[in-house]
Amino acid sequence: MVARRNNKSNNLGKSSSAPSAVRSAASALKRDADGGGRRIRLIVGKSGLDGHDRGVKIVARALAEAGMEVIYTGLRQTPEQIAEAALQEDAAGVGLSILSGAHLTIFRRVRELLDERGLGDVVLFGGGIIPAEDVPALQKMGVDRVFGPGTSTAEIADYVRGRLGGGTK
Amino acid sequence: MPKPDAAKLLASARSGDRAALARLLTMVESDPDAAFVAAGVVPKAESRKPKADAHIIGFTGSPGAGKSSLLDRLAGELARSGARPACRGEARPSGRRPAVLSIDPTSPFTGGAVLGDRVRMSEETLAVGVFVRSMASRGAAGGLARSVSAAARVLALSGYSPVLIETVGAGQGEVAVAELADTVVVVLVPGMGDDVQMLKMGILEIADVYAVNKIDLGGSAAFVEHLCEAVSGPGAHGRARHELAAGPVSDWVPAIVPTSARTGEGIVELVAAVESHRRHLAEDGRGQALRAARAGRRILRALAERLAAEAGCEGSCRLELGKLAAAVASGAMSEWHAAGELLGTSIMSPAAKSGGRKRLLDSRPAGRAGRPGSDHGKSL
Ligand SMILES: Nc1nc2c(ncn2[C@@H]2O[C@H](COP(=O)(O)OP(=O)(O)OP(=O)(O)O)[C@@H](O)[C@H]2O)c(=O)[nH]1
Ligand SMILES: [Mg+2]
Repeated sequence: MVARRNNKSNNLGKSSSAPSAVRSAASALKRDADGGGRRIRLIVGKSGLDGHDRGVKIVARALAEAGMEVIYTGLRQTPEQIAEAALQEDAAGVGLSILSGAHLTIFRRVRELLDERGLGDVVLFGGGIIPAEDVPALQKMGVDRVFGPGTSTAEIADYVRGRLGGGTK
Repeated sequence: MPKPDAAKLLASARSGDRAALARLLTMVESDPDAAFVAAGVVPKAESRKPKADAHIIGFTGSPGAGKSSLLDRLAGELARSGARPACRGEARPSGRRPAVLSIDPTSPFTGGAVLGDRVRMSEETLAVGVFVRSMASRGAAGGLARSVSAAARVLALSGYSPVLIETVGAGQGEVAVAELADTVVVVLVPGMGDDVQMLKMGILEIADVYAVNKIDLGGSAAFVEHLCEAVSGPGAHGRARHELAAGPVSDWVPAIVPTSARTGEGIVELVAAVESHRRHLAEDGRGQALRAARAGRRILRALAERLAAEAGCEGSCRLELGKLAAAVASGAMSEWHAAGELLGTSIMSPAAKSGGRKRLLDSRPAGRAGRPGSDHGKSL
């Protein structure tokens, strides 16, 4: 950022023509509107009937603090709502918290609906109360990562950055 | 992934591909120009002329007033209400395809954001085809994000109308929406501090329609009455909106609609009020004139923001800034005046920078703060 700014001033300093100043201003604006690069956008929400959203809110906030744009969908989202949100928001990932025990059904359905919408490249991950023995089945159906209870928000942020920040989306 | 082509995405979006629309919106968020580049290409590829005359409706009001909840109800109602059986008894599509753009603030510290307006979007609203997009303000002032007008344009080009825009809801200084929307709905809640406080603020002067929300909680009758008096009296508030936009003064008297996003009461009336304002704008090209006036305001806002973005102050500019800062800190001049000094030397005149800038800076003492006869000197 600093280097680019210097660069820009140099250009301005050398040039005496207004158009190049305008061009330079335009690129500065683009850079600023973009905030210095494309942001990681992802959906974070809860599916299932339980009403505990404390954990998922903490995760949403932590990811925002890590510089991401987190579209928080709230509680009791149907798989359809989640998949449609991922589509409309052009999200690179979907993180779901599921405490109700319905994780196998919900993740399978969300993955299906994402794929149906041509969103095969959207990374699906989650956490909540998910027994370790279910994790292989979840991974097989296309859940990229399952976080156990007590995972630190830093670990989740690192994972998301590593997985979604690669510039493929 | 190869960089997607904005024009191709727009062509797909126009044929109903929502994923392409979503991708184009992402592109527009980092480069507002992409929308206009794409729009310029499309007519050549298609026989249909792109129509972009979507009715843009802005929603503003205090945090928690119920903007998102009302938008959910309103968008659903707009999508459904036209779909009544026509005279021959067959169902007729409403022709309205509402889209929602909800803006939430970006953290100035981390650059991140929690975009929470989708929480209020119901399954029913999505089921009737409403397109909902969240946007982070990304540092723009005035309650919107910089790319909102370009995003609204892309939605319009993709066949969505009306485009409903929710501001960040800071409650104050939400003027950007008045510079963009054809119709501004201000959402107020009696007893939430809105009563006395809000009436003092500029926010009331931008309303075409007031939604007095949460009437299910009671106690709204007196508030509505009070608002009616304020709005229909001489120098009615709504006019200022048009003067703000430097357009023709309008004889529109702001509509006041009591609503409950919880029970759905007043939603049909809210649709009617917004529609009635749209018809009012359509009379004798009034709406078009106002659009042009608002565009002028947006250019000036963009100019200010671009200048701020360009004010990366280094080298000799830093030296000048140091001198000016000392002068401002010691009370010798205002920061407003000092900014003008920097503007004159380092930003507005690139030509001066190449050769003349150094001379300019050297020949000038720390600003013209004490220069007798300057406006600033007088005001001190
Ligand atoms: N009782 C009642 N509650 C409402 C009504 N409309 C909204 N609410 C509630 O008010 C709270 C805030 O609603 P939102 O729709 O999120 O308000 P908002 O203005 O979009 O809020 P921000 O986007 O955070 O500024 C939620 O708990 C809603 O359920 C209403 O008409 N009646
Ligand atoms: Mg909201």
